[in-house]
Amino acid sequence: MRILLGVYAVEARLAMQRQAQYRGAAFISILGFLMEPVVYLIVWRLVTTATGAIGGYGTEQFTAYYIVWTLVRVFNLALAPGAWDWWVQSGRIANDLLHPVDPFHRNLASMAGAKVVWIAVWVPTAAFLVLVFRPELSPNFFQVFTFFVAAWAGYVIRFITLWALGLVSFWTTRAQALVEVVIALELLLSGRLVPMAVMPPWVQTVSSRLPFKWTFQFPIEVLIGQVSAADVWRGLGVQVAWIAAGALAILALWRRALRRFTAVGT
Amino acid sequence: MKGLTHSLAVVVARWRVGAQYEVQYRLNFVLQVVESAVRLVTGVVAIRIVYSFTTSLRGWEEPELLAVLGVHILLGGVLATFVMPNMHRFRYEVHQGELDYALVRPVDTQLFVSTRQISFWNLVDVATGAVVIGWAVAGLAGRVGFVDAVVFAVALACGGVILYSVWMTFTTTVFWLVDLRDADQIINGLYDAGRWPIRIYPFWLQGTLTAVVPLGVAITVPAEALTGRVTPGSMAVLVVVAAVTVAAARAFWNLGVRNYSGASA
Repeated sequence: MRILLGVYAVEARLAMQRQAQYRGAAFISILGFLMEPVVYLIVWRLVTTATGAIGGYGTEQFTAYYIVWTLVRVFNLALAPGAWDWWVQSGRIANDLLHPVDPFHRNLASMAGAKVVWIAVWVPTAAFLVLVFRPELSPNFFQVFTFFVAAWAGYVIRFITLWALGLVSFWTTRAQALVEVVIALELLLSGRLVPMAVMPPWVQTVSSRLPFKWTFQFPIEVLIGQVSAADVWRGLGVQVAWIAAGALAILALWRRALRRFTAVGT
Repeated sequence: MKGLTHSLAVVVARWRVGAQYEVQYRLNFVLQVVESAVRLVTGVVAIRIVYSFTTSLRGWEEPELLAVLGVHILLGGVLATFVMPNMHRFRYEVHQGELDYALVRPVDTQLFVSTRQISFWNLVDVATGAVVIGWAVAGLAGRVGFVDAVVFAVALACGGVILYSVWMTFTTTVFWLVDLRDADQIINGLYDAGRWPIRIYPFWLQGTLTAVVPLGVAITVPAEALTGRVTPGSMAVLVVVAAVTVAAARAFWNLGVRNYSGASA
C-alpha cells in the first residue's frame, strides 16, 4: 500500500509537470467546453425569469450551478473509452502490461496530476463567467471542503465507470455504439444537462440509483448550498459505496479481459 | 469553364469511389443509426424539458425549436459526410509532409483537398435531420408555404456553404499551428451552440455566432425561413456572410499554400 501511494505521488507529479508545459493547450480546451454550460445557463435564465423558481432553482441558483459546472467538468475528465479502441487494437497496451504497476493506478494518478494544472487554467475562464453572469455564490468553509472531497470522489467514480466501459474493447472492436448510449445516459441523468430537480420524479429516482449523478450534480450542489449538511454526509457515503462497488467490478473484469488479450510485436 | 467541368467530374468520381468503399462496412450503418438516435433523443429531451415549464422562449415555440434542431442535425450530417473526412485527411497530410502529392494534381487544389473523401454512413444524420424538420413542419400546422420552402432551401444551401468555409478556414491554420486537437473543442462547442436559435442569446454571443464564427447564423436563419420568421435583412446577412466566408476561406488557403514548404523527401 505504501509503495502504491508512492507510485501515485510520482505519477501525479510527472503528469502535472508534463501538463504544465501544455498549459496553453489546456486553456484552449477549457474555452472549448465553456459553450455548453453557457448555453444551458442562458436558456434556463430565460425560463426562470418568466416562470420563477423551478424545483428550488431560481435564476441565481441556475447561474451558480452552471458556473460551478465548469469546474466539476474539469474534475470529471477521465480516460475516454474511445482511447481503449486504439490502446487494445494497436497492441500498445502490451507495453503497459509489462510495467510492474497496474495501468489502472498509473492512469488514475496521472490524470489526477494533470487535473491540478487544468484547475489552475480554469480560474481565468471562471473569472470571465462571474463577470458576465454575476452569480450569487458565498459558500462557507464546510461547503468548500466537502465540495473538493466530493469532486475528487466524483472523478474516481467516473474514471472507474469509463474504465469498465473501456474494457469492453477486449471483447469487441465495435464498442462505440454502447459507449454512445452510456454517454447519452450520463448527459441526461448526471445533472450535466439540467439539475435533476427540473426532471420528473421518476427520472430523479432512476438518477439517484445510478453513479452518474454522484460524479456531477452532487459536488455542484454541495458548493452552491442546494443540499443540507446531513445530505452532504449521506452523499459522500454513497460516493464511497460506488467507488467500492466499481473497484470490485474492475478487479473481476480486468483479469477476464487480460485473458482474452494477445499481442504480436517487435 | 472546361477546367471547372473537369474538376467537378473528379469530385463526382471521388465521391462514387468513396461511397463504394464505405458500403463494404455495413455494420457501420448500424453504429451510425445508434449514434444518430442518441443525438436525436438528447436534443429532443432537452427541448421537451424546457417546454414543460414554458410555452415560449423569447418568442420561439416548441415546433420552431424542433426546426432549429432538425437543421442542426441535418447540416451536422452534411459536415460529417462531406467535409470532416477531408479536413482530417488534410491535417494528417500536413503533419506527415504528404500534402505535396495533393498540391501537384492538375485540378483546383482547394477543391481537390476538400472533396477527396466521403463518410457515406453519416448520411443517416442528414436523413434524421430531414425527419425532424418534417416533424417540425407538421407541428407548425400549415404555416409553411411554397415560398417559405424555397427560401428555406436557399438559406440551407447558404448555411452549408458557411459551415464548409468556416471549417476550411479553421483547418487551413494547420499550416502554421500544426496541432489543432485542442482548438477542435472550441469550434465544435460553437457549432453546438447553434442547436438553439441565436436570437435567444445575449447580443455579444449573437454577434460572435454571426460575424466572428458564423456557425449560429448558418443554422438559425434556415430555421427562421422554415418557420416564417425570416426577414429580408437576416436573409441578406446570411447571403453576405456566405459570400465573405467563401472568399476568406479561398484567400486563406492561397496564403497557406504559399507558406507551405512541404516536409517530404
